[in-house]
Amino acid sequence: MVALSEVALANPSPAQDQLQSMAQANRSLDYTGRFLYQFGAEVSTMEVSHAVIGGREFQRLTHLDGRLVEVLRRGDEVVCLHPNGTLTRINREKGGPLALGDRIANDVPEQYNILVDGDGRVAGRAATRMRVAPLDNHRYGYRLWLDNDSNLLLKSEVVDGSGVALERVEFVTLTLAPPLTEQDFAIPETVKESDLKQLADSHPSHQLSVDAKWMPAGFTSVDKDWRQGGSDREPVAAQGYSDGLAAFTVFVEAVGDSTVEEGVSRVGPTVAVSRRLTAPSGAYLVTLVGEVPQNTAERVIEGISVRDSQP
Amino acid sequence: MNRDLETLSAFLDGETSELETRRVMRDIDDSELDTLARWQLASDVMHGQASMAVPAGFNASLSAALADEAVPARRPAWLGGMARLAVAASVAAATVVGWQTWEGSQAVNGSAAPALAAAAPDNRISRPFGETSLVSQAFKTSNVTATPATAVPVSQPRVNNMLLRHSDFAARHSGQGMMPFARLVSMDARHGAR
Repeated sequence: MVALSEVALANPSPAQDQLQSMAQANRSLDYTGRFLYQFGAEVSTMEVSHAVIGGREFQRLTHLDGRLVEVLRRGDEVVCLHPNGTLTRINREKGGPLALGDRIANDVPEQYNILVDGDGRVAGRAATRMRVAPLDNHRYGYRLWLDNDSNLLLKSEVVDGSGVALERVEFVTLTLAPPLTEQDFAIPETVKESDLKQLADSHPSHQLSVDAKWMPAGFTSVDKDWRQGGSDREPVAAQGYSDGLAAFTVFVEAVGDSTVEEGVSRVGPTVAVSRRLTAPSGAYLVTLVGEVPQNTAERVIEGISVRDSQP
Repeated sequence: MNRDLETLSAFLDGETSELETRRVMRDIDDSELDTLARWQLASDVMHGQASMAVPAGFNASLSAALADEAVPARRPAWLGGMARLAVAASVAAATVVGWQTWEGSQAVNGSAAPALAAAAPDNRISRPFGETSLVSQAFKTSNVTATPATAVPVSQPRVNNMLLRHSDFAARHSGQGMMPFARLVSMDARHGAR
């Protein structure tokens, strides 16, 4: 408590400072815990283990009820183990370490108002409640509960404009500094592996470029790549956008004249919108996946155009 | 039918005066109680109160309730459009996956939907996360109907790969910690469960 008030005195914006400490703690501390996860109308239970070993970040998320699903992060590699025993792997050869901590530390997005709300209690631990309120209707707000001891995020809600919680994470148990080794993040045996391979810059697909005519304020392009789910599949381009807190990704793939599904769907805060576009050399399906309001997603996708330099 | 539904709605929202409240409590009949219960359910969902303990069959019963609600004769015309849209909006926030067709296009028809999408290229039905829908909705200009859809397993690695890639980006660049991966795990588990 003493430390907290000292921070408050020393820093003109303690709320932003706390948010940065949270991002830092989530990335740099070793912890394991179980939490409730509510996504849309469904509630499930999950376990998370996180550790930094030899400078590399390891994380394991396990679905505890229903089917077994796991997502493992091992440094720059992300592996998803599906319920049918198959596995999908994303390896990032370039792009360096995860940039989350830096990004938050450098600029807390000005499209949000960050407030310290008071005291709370989660998983038997004393917490500080915070509110991150969006200043326009192109993004969701957050209610956050931060552990007073470690600054870890203990509970979080994504809320829409009318205050409805679309997604909720709430720790039930949390253990700090557990004895974790690299073995705890080993990839389980699987029946089949598929790689989402990154294409080389020289690949002809790179001649395709995607333009966005409209972006909600504060969203900038953060990352892009081309990946192929297998040699028999068309490569799909992805361009990520973020305002520092929320993120969405625009995917573009060439489609033949066959079945194309356009439409919109959402689960909790996640929306997916697909639209068909035509460019000189053929038709493309543009799909936006992300945690932004549906209206915003549809407006973004309406302004997307594809240019290809092929004849 | 018997009472001004506006009063009932105001009552539910806590906007009636003390006098009106007492009058509503005294005069309420069975059919109004039904209506009230349905509205309360929708309102609870909208405010997240029902969200932590969702019983099995919740979505099915909710869509059944909505289907009842959509019978035009049950409400005065002036209330119809708006109120039903409001209820539908609360449902969309609570359902697992709400399939929506673009305005003016063909209504989604339960289990036939994926087959239709495959057969007719022009049919603008969303095939969201390669998953299933518990409630499908077709939005028209002034009228909303909800039909319970049967769960249809749709294998769609294309969209699942998109989710994976989006989660990867989001984990790197959004300040959401492990949330992007929790979403991925939850969706994948749900997909596999059907």
